[in-house]
Amino acid sequence: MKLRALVIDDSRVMRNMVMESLRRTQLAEFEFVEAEDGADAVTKFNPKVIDIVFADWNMPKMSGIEFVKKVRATTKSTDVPIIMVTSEKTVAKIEEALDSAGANAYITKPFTVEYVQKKVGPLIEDIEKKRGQKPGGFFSKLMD
Amino acid sequence: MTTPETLSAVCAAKGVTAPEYIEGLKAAMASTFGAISGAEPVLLGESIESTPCEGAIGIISVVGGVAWSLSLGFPRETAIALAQKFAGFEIEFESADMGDVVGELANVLAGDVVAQLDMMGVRVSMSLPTVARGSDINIMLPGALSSLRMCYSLPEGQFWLGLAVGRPTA
Repeated sequence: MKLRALVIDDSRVMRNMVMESLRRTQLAEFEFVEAEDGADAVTKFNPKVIDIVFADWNMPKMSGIEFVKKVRATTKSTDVPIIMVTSEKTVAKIEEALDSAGANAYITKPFTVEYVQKKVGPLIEDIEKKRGQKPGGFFSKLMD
Repeated sequence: MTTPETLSAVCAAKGVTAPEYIEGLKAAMASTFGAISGAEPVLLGESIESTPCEGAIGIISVVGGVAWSLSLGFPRETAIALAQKFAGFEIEFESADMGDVVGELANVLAGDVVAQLDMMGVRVSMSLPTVARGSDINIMLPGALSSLRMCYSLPEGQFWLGLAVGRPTA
């Protein structure tokens, strides 16, 4: 399955690490769009084009959590899974991201490929199921 | 450099910060570098004199229930070896990516420190990291701050941790 992932981090090395880890998971055939901070990501995020988002928390201009809140405020983007990839590890921050802001998963730095696979795998399965359902539904009933 | 002592003992002797908070810092050092290097850093002792060397320093602040400035100093060879371990690919010392890695190492350590302090009921937040690279770098701290610098060893080489303590902001 082909997936277009938006990777947001002010560190180029971290973006490369996230992208390389995702490639190594072999969960999908990834194509990447990179953003340097939340503000940059807002301009590059299009829910019709982006399938999954990986966002750092602490970044200049606009933080990752502000980006998540902004994106989730738009109903069109609620289907796009967002994964926080951050060194913030307190329970309060994790709850803020997952319960309050609307992120779907939380990865703490440093991470391994196996850890990324464990966290991202179920979200990609969900995307796969939704894609599988799309050709069916209303149109498949018409064909019956 | 002094003989190896525990970080807590040095901090207690210098009255740098509360001993229980230092336990959090120790746990964060073990967790951060254990995860990256695969080995816990070994404390070699307090580094009294700043030895001139080519290297990179990552600085980050933790403020709230405590006011700490944390710095991590890596000589060139340690920085290259640790960056490869952290990123999984080779990074040249002179490249911009090396600055990213050193800043990220400070960031990850600070994230662990914040989590450790949080478990003790101390609420803090962290700043964005700052990175300096060059020869014979020396961090000049305001005289009013209590500070110390501890030297550690990893399979990737030696490095140091600096801690400067100010008045809590919360």
